[in-house]
Amino acid sequence: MNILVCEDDVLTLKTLEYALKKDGYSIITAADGLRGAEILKENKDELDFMITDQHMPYVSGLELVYMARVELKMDIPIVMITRVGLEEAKIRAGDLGVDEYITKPFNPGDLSDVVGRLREKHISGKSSGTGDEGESYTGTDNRFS
Amino acid sequence: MKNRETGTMYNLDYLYKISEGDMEFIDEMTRLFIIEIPVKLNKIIVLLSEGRREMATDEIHRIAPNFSLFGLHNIIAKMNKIECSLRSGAEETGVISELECIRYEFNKVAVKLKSDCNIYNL
Repeated sequence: MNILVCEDDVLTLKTLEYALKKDGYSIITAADGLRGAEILKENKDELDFMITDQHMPYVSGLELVYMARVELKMDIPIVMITRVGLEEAKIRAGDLGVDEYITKPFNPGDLSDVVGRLREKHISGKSSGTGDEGESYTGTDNRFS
Repeated sequence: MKNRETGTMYNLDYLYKISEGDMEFIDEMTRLFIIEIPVKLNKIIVLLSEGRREMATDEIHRIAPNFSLFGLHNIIAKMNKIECSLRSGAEETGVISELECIRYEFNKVAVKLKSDCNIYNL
């Protein structure tokens, strides 16, 4: 599984990259939102998952999610990294189609669980044909509860 | 890196946990931490001294979780307090003084980290 990780903080990026590689995933990293946007466009069909920081210069995590969901119509799980106490941003992220969020510094076990769970959900949704295909992300479900 | 016992200044528990004791990873993270944090703290101080408080606040928001990686919860609490005070209109000069104290505190940690982790070439 190819995961795009967009994070402008080098220490967090290294930690994410290390943890995800340890779990056997293939990682493409972007050190800012601008590069993340380029990778999204260039590798749209190869990417299976996206993890993005919310706060990044030039292009924010929310803009990347918008690009993936609305412009590129990508049906992949998206996880947003944020800090605690940003409830408004979480609601906006949910509206745009973020599946889950994790807070910094993330618990390694939580990251594995979130990625594994969303991956399974996505695969089973696709194989049954009753998953998220064509779902409009209205933010009215309980993904953030 | 020979010794995990580091006294009360910092702890590497998080890094040990995430890497299951991979010393290569812990060493790389420690080096990055020692290099990156002073640059970021200096950048925040410069931004504040230039009156660019919104950018400075964003940087503080960004940098704070890095201290968690090394168990520096005291510094995180101070950074969070500074972020809150900036958002509620605190004067830049007072905030700069607080950041200089944090920089001093960090430098002491960096010296200890370098010594404990046998990092001599930074």
